[in-house]
Amino acid sequence: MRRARIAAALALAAGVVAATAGCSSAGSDRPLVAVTTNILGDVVTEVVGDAADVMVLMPPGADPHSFEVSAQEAARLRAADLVVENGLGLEEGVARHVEAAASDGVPVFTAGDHVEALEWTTEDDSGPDPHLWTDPARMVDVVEALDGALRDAGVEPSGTDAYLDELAALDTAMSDAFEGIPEDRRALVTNHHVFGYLADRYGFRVVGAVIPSGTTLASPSAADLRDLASAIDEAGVPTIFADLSQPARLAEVLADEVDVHVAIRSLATESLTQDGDASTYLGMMRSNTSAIVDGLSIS
Amino acid sequence: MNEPTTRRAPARLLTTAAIAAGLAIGLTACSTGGSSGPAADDPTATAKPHGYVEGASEAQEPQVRLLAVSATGATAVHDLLGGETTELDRIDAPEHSATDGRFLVTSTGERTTIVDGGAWTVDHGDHTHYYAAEPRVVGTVRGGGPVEVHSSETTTTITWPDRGEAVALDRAALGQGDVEETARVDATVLLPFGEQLVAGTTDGVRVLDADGAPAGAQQACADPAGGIVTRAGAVVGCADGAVIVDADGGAATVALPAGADRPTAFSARSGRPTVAGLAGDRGAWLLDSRERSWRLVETERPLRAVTAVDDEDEHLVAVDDRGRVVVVTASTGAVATTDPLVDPDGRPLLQLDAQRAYVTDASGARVHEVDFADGARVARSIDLPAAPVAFAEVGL
Repeated sequence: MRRARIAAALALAAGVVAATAGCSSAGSDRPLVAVTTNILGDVVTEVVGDAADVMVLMPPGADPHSFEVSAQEAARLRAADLVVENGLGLEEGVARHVEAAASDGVPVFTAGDHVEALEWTTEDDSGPDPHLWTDPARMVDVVEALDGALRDAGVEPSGTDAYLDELAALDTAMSDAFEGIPEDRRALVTNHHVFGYLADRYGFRVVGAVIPSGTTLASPSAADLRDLASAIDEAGVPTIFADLSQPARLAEVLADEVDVHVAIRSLATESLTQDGDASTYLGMMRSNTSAIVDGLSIS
Repeated sequence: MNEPTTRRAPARLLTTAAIAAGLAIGLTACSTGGSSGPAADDPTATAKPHGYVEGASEAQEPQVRLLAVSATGATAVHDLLGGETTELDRIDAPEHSATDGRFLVTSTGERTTIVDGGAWTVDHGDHTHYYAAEPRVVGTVRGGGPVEVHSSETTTTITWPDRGEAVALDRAALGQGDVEETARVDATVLLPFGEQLVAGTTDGVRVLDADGAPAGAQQACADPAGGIVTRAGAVVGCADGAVIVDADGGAATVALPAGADRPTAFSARSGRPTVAGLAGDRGAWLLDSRERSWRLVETERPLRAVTAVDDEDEHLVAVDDRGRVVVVTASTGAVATTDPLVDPDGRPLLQLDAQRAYVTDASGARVHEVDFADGARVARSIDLPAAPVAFAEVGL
């Protein structure tokens, strides 16, 4: 019985796709550029202008590490004129489809190949940090290289110069905004793992901290909060940046149990949203910049 | 092989598929307006909805739950974040049990039952994924007796040490409700390790390929019993110590002092390199699988169960022969003890995560949540529908 109901639901899903999926494969004679992540999808769309159709594989709000594509999309990927991926190990779920397209002879542009990559390390493991978009200067390097790759693939991008100007303006705006934060407060106490490049570019320290989980918050003690409290204390910041299901509860518990008073904000990290500030790359970066500046400037 | 028990039809699965349909709309949007698309006359072309894992959603933090089975086989899941308890299908009254942090495996003398707690964590080094899905009884496997279970991201192994038999199962299929055997091995220990298997057999410790065929190192190990996979390697307990197989396939023996009481089971916070085992009546052994060294932690009373937190303070959580929870801070030697909480005559059930440990109450339908970092404080006592004889903390 369960199977039948799932089958019905999937048939419905298939029907919806059929009704909406056909943007460009039929009826358009423009080249097709397939992009893995929605952040790069936005950038590529701005750069190519009207010169190509852009297919973005990663849905708004999804996790770039784990989203997967349908058989239909995988097939279109292999027929694309150019595939654009982030690389550096980011797109774990679609890497095999990109490889399949590459072995079919589709040119693949890997953003990570065109930037100076940072490394993440833990006590057991290390690897290249794939979250290069948190530094707009590195995105300039990506866009400059992308322009060449598009031309090699027969696409004449019309938006490169304008978008490079936007990136330069973003970089300047972020530098100027962060200048206003006292130097000793330029620290991100966070459980987000994507801000290494931003920190590298603008002179922030990233302070990783154990953020107490929901079970801890049900019946907390000072001992549970010691690690986080000392990280906050050491960083000397009035705001921490964390993705939490109960941020207000954590702030309350920190105040009650260990007399640490902080605001808790979450930042946009690795996926654009359908609507709002973080629905474009530039918008996401600007809204994160103001959240960081506001968060670290309060007294 | 596979004798599925009744399965529930959770309403949320339908919702998930509907969400997947919604995502598909967003996903396929592209920069140009649409002409008619490719016909979806083959529903299998889109049968794998976009998203993470079919029927699962990702969360911001570990979706910790307690999965408990009563003496009569009544099965319930308690959500430690939200506080709700959900009853699942009744299963065979369990005589033995084990967990890998997602699945609870119970057995009678004749058969083994797998229950999916529907919550798990995937560690990708620099980031971690937390998943939540519907809990359910997955199915049964013929053959019973004492049982052990271990999982990698792709493979779950079940071992019946008394019978010297073990199977490897497709973990993704288990998560979808299907028991699919990928290898069957004569072994008293079987661990999934990367793309390979590590087995403790009468020929010693062997590295096997995913199909169970010999594929690499072989290391002497008398009477293999007990195993665990950490970030630093796969550990198999032997009469004179432990064999550790590292990610490159190299195997090495870490010897115990001559005459030492060997541990026959290892337990630790999920993935951590330092693991704990019982040291006869003297206390606990700590085995650091990265440094490849043993360390004896002596306790006032003999222990019945022990597990290592492997945090900065090197906490060790145990249950002693009086049913008290004992927390040893190995970095300082400090010891904190609760009142007797657990039935000292039964096999104590002890589970933990980075912040809390869970033990079953001696007399009733309750599980105690212990804050080991705060002097073994009982943080909460959680009521369950029936007294558990098998239980697991899942979401790890």
